[in-house]
Amino acid sequence: MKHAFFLLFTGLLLILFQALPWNFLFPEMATLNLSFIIVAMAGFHGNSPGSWLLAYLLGYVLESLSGSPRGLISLTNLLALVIIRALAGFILLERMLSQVLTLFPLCAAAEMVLLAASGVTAHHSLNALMAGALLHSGIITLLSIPLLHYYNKTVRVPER
Amino acid sequence: MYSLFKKYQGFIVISFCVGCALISYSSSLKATSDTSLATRTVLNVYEPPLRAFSFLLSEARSCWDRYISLVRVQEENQELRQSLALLQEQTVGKAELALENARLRNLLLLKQQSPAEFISAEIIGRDAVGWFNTVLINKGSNDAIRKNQAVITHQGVVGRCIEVADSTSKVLLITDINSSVDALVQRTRSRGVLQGKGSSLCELTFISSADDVAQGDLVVTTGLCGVFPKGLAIGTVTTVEKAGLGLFHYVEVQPGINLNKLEEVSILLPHGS
Repeated sequence: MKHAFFLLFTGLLLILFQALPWNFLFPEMATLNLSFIIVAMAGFHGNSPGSWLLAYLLGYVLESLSGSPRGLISLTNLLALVIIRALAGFILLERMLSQVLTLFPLCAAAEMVLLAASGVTAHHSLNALMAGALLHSGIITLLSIPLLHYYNKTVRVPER
Repeated sequence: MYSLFKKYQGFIVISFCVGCALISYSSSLKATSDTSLATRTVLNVYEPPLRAFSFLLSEARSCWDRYISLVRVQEENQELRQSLALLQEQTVGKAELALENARLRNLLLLKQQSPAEFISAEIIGRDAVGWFNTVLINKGSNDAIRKNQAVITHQGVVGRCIEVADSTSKVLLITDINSSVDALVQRTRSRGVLQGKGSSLCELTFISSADDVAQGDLVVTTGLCGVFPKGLAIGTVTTVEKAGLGLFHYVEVQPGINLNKLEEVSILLPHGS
């Protein structure tokens, strides 16, 4: 229960942060999809129906606060969860290193999907956009490390 | 029944989530007039914290500008006094022209254009995903705002409302890839469609190779798309690549407003609302 509330609350807070202070403090800098970390964290620790609902809910809220086509981010989140759960059959996803190594390519893939959906590829160099998406994913992955560390040590461990 | 649900609980929840996402994706492709209840709820729930954050940030910024960052204030004051004197001179001439325009309109029995009504709003949030260009404002259906109303500033066009909740609305900026505005080049009256490029620039498409367009030309709205009134400034032409053997020029337009640093906007209301 504590686990679910922690993820939901943090996810909604990160979306709030994405929608305002980040952009006002750094207006020229692109917004990072930080709530994706929460979706991945939900996938790393089990296959409960709550994880799927959380991924969908966070996607829906993010779509409502952005210009993204409705349903796209929810679908991307759900697809990411499917991949994480499939990977969990082969690797132990409870270690920080495996979590970070899984998060980076997934985050890059999610960024590419959004990039393609936004249509900016029609007007800009694809290589530059992909480099931007990879950079975003790298920063998101780096920012996820303290959150994953805190979650693995503090919230998740007492529930086992 | 319950045991069946319990057995397939995971599968049912996943199917439900994927189904909802697919349905909302397919429904987003249709142009609907109203914002869905769920979206309105999300926007209404996020409005108070966004407004509070926005207030705190703007107070902190104004405190910095008023009391700490006062370098060059004297020079700026001098420049402003000079431009005020110049504008006062121009205003006298403009008043004469307005009176003359009114007399001529009466003479030709043309309908007088009633002054547009608008309300001001503050930007309380920006796009939560980096690849799209939308902003959230602190006015909604409670303030007579409806979908597809024009959003402007004194410097020109900003965008249009695409989602409206009770006390907040989402505005699609003209730089977004999904934005299209019917526009013309003021000097030559060449008409085209202004489309966002997803960055800070726009592209004026369908400008015929026979048309004369030059760098620095002002681009204004035509009033034909039914959202923006005629003659609102949009921006200036920054790049023109001649068509060669093609049918259309490639024309790049820099919006007159820095949309990344926008803080206040005005929403044009329909007459009599």
